[in-house]
Amino acid sequence: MTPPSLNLERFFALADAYGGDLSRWPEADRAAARDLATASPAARARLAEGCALDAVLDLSQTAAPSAALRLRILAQAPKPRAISARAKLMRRLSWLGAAGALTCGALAGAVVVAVSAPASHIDADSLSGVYDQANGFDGAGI
Amino acid sequence: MKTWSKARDDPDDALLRQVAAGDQGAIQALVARKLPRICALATRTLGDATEAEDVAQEAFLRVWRHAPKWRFGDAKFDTWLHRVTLNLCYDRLRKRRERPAAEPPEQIDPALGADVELEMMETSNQVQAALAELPSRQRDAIVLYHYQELSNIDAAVVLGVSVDALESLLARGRRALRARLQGLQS
Repeated sequence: MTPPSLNLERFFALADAYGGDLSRWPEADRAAARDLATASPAARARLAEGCALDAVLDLSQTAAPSAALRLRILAQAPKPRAISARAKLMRRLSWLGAAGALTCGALAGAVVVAVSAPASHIDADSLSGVYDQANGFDGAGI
Repeated sequence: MKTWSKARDDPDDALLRQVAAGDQGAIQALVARKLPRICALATRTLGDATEAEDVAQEAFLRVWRHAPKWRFGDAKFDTWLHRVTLNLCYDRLRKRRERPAAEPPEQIDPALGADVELEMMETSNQVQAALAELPSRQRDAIVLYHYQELSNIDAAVVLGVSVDALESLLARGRRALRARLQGLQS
């Protein structure tokens, strides 16, 4: 049953605007339009006119984009996102933490050695070198 | 104020998110998906393949610029891209009008080869010429709806008109084309 919103006049208006392919018509009108096209020779004739013009329009071809254009566009595209300054900081802090833990371990080992070894074997310069090494992670490049 | 078509089910969403993250595979996929459409739109609007390529490149520059700050759900990407491309075409058409001795729109060169190919090129040029003769809004409506296959709602959004107005533009444009291309209809 055709709803009153899609009488023959409205069908003609839709065919004139949207052409002969009912699948491209506004969704809300499609089912009613199919019913009307089945029932009405005049509606079918109007659809056929639409199809004929659609076919002529489809004879217009455009060239495919050139490979050079595609390459130019890709060359301008964003590069993989750079690591943010915050992420860099977090990464360095985690390195610092790991280095600190290693340093603590090394110091603890040194203390054990110092306690168990003669005092003359404790080299103050080598100890400060361990601190410097740890400090060397601090702030560099952040 | 511009009202874009809502994009709850935008088929380009996932790809665009990857593009925004700088995913090179997604960038290539987006170019493969959209470039032919954008070139076709610009070629049919400008009638000049070289200028159309320039427009397509400019349009993609805007895509790259906007991708990281794209507000998903606000607009359909394809609709937005069509609007951007049409605006770039309008700029060029305006400049063309301002130039006193503007070149006539270029048409597809017939390729050397079989007669059939030549005939197809000639037919294509005839249709393109008939389109070019339409008032610009009627031509744009037909290009967006028929060739770009936008829905009536999206085509109306791109043109900034109501669906009723779009229908009127389409109907008048098609009527004029039917008269001009009568010889090709059989």
